[in-house]
Amino acid sequence: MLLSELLGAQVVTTNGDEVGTVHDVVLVQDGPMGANGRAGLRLHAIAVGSRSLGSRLGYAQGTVEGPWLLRRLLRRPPRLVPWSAIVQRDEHRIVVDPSFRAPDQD
Amino acid sequence: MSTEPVGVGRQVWAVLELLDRQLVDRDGRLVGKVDDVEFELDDEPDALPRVTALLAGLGALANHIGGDTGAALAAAERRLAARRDHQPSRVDIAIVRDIGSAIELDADGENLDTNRGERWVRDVIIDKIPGAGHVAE
Amino acid sequence: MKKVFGVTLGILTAMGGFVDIGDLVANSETGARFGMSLAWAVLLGVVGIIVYAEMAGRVASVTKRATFDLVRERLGARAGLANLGASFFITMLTLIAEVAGVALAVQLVVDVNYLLWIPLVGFAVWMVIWRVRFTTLETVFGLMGLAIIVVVVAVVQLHPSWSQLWHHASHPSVPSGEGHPTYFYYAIALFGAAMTPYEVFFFSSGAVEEKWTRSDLVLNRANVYLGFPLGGVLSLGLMAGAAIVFHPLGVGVDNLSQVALPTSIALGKVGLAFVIVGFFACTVGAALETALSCGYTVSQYFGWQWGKLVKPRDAARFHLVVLVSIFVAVVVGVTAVDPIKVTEYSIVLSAAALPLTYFPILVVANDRTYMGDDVNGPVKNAIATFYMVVLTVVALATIPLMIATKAGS
Repeated sequence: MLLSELLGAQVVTTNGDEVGTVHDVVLVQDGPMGANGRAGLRLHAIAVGSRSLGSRLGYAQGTVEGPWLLRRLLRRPPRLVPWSAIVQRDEHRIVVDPSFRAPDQD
Repeated sequence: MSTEPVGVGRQVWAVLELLDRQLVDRDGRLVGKVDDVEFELDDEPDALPRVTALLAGLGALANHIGGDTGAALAAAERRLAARRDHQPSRVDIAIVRDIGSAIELDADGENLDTNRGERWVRDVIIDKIPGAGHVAE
Repeated sequence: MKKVFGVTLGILTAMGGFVDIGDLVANSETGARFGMSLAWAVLLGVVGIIVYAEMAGRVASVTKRATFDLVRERLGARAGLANLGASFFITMLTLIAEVAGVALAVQLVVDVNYLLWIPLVGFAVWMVIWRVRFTTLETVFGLMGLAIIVVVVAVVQLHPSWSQLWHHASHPSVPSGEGHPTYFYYAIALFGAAMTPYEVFFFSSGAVEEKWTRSDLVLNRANVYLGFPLGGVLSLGLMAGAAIVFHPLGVGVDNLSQVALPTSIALGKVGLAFVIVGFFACTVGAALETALSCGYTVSQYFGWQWGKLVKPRDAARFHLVVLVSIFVAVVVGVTAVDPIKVTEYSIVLSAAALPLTYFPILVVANDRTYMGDDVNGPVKNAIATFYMVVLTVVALATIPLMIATKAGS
């Protein structure tokens, strides 16, 4: 599986509600030890939103704070959907279980 | 900007911190950009996809860009690639030493798959011009 | 010694970037047509390039990453590629203009058609990039380029009415016989001539290669606050010279010997000699910068090894791009395309393309994980945001104005 296959995919719930498009994925270093002696990276969640620019630049994740004008325009925290909530994956379409909706993750 | 080794529990936003990042070999040479990330998903229930490699090169870039531009790049890559199997150049995750402002690799650029194009241009064109080995500074 | 050379980098950048063929043409043409009433556009551009270059230099020192590397990282591969296409095309146009500019400067001395000089100039430019020590480059052309200061001396020598010049500059108005669209088109041209992207590519790439650290930031600021204003003074000198000599006569400027005329009137043969040396050094410096920038942009997008301080064989694809770019510039140049027209297009399109590269740098300059405490302070951010708005307005206005005024005719 490639990252490029996930990015830009449309995410919908099993009920047919649109969630958005995949803009980023969250990796955590908690996998089995690799050959380099370090824990591997595992994909924990996909970040879904409606506009990708803020995510690309770092406004959504909060690493970029200014200037004020851009932050106002671009800071839209994405919704994080855990990998386990994914029910089905097709080319450019991901179906998720609506149970992921929890108040303000990350 | 991270200078300590990648620690356990660390969170990495793949698009923000991995994709389109500069790859650097152990001597500090620039050896390409991360064009895509390869995952492997085990069959067990509750398994999460594991990162197995970073992909670099025109083929991977073509995938990443997609659309008509991507198709054009992919066609260019097939023309230029010396390999027959059209596999994008892989950087195994095991040789990734640090993920920071750039992605540091524990390998020599000479041996890296991703640096094929550079070696080709060097051997076929640049080395033929006198003075190529001369340090200008 | 490194500090002296560091300052020279700034001066070379300012010379090459500020007083390149674009500025020689734009400031003289504008002075002849509009007197000093567009001086404000030069000032706006000078402050703009100071803001831009300081930010890009600071980002390069702290992150050790050059501009186009960060452009792709922040905009993504797709938008980054479109950006690369536009930036490379414009830098290439500028290279064509600069190479022709050098040939024109040589033609002022040796009365042989400039077209014959173009291949020679191209070869020389390539040769310098291939073999010559970088610091030698900076020092030689930095010093030679200072000869262009003679244009300011010339203005003084012409004994103009300073109060009239000042009045004209501080009360901008559209002269009768000129339309508002043309006025603003020339404003954009001056702005673009002052804020050329290739300067920033060159400057930040140099900062990364010379391994500027946080402590070199002081040096960065000296370069920027000294070099670019100096360039601005020179631009205004060119404008004033043309305003004094040509404007009252209603004569336009459309070739390089006319650009030299005010100086030769004021200071005779000696002045002319100095100004021609200045033209030559500035256009050569600019040709070197733009050729290198052609290589920098492409290499930094794809992540290839680039740089002046590595052996050519260790930066093979970078050098290939530079070589091909110079070759294309020579080929286009000898087709006798009007170098002045190419220059005009290159500066106007540069102005339009500025947001593409300015915006990602502004974002990175605000990223604490990259910049630590060197992020933009609130004052810098306010000014930088103001310029982002200005650049966006300019970018949107350029093509319509170009069409409306038929490229300023």
